[in-house]
Amino acid sequence: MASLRPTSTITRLANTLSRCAATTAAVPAPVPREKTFQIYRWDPEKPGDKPHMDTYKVNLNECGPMVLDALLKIKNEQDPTLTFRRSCREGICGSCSMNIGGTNTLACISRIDPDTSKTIKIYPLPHMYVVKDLVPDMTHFFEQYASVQPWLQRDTEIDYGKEQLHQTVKEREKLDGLYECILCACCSTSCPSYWWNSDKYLGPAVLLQSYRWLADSRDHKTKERLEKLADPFSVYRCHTIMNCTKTCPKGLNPGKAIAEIKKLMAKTL
Amino acid sequence: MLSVIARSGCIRPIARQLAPSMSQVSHMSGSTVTHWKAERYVSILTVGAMMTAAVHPTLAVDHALAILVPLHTHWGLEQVFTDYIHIKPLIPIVGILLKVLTGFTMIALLYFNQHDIGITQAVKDVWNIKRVNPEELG
Repeated sequence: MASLRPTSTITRLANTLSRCAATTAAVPAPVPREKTFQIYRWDPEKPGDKPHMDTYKVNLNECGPMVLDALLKIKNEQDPTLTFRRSCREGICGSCSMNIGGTNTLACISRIDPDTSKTIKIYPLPHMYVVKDLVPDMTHFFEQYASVQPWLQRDTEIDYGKEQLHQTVKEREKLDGLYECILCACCSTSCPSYWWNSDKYLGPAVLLQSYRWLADSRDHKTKERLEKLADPFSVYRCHTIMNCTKTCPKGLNPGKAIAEIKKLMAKTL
Repeated sequence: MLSVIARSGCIRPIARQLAPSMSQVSHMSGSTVTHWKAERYVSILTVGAMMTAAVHPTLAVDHALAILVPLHTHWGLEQVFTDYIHIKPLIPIVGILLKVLTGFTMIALLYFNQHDIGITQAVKDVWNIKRVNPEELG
C-alpha cells in the first residue's frame, strides 16, 4: 500500500487518516500507476478492418476513478478515434453501457480496479450489432420498447391538465424498482435467451418497462397489454436465468418483473 | 397417445385425472398461458407424487409417476427446442419425434409398473446395489 500512494487531493485526506493506523510513516514520491486497458475496436469505414483489441496504458494518478474517466483520457490524449457513447457521467442516462471485465455495466459508475497488475478488457454490449468500436446498434431494442406502448392509457378521454390522477401510497409503491430503469440494455444483452431469440423475445429491460405499465393503477389497458404478450416468445423465453438482475447497474430486478407478468397472465387470461 | 394409455385397463382413472392438462398439448399454440399453468400444475403434482412414492408406494403412485415425469420432461425439452432450433423445416419434425419418444416412454413405464416391479421399487433397487467382491463371484 505504501508504495502505491495515490496523490490526488481527495485521496490524500483518506491517506492522512489511514496513516494514523499504519506503522510506516514515510510518504514516498508518487509512483506512476500504469493501468492497462484492452479495448475492442472496429471501424466500418476502414475497408477490410476486422474487429481487434487495442491496448492503452493510463496512469491512474492522473485519471479519475471511473472507467469512463479512463476512456475519456485515452480519447483526449492518446487516440481521438476511439468511439463510445457517453452523456451524463453519473449513471442516469444509460448511454455508456458496455461490457467491462466481463460484466455489462455503465462505464461512468464502474470503478477502475486499482490493481495495476490486472488488465481491464472493454467490449461493446454482447450479441449486439456494432456500429463502431464500443457503440452498439440500439434500433431493434428501442423498437421493442415502443412495441409495449410505454405510456399511460385510459378507457375514457381525459382532460389533460385539469385534475390529477390520484394513487394510494400502496399503489404508488408498486412502481418502485420499475420506474428507475434507464434503458441502458445491460440486462437484455446479458440474457442468453435474448441472445438466441432477440427477434421475438422482448428481453428483460423491455419486459420490466411493460410491467411498469401493467402495475400502474392509473392504466386501464392491463388486459390488452397482457394479451399482446401471450405468445410463446414475447415473455415465455425467460427461463429465470437471472443474469439481468445480477448485472443491472441500477440494482433493479427485471427477473422478478417478468415473473410478475407471468403471474398476472395466469390470473387474468 | 392418450387413448392408447386409457385403453389399458387399470390406468384409466389416472389418465382421466390428467386429461385436462394432457389435452393442452394439442391446443398449445392456441393458449400459451394455459400451457404455462399446466406446466406448473404438473411440476407440483410430480413433487407430490415423488414424496408419496417415498413414504407410501402403491401401483397408483407408480402410474402417476409414469405419466407425470415424462410429461414434465416433454415440456422441458419442448422449451429447449423452441430456444435453440431455428431451422424452420426442422421444428415440426423434432416436435413429432419428441411426441413419439414421450409416448413410448409413458407406455413403457406403465407396462413396467403393471407387469414388473414398478418405478419406485426399481429406484429403491438401484439405491441398494452393493459392491460385490469379485472373489465371491468365483
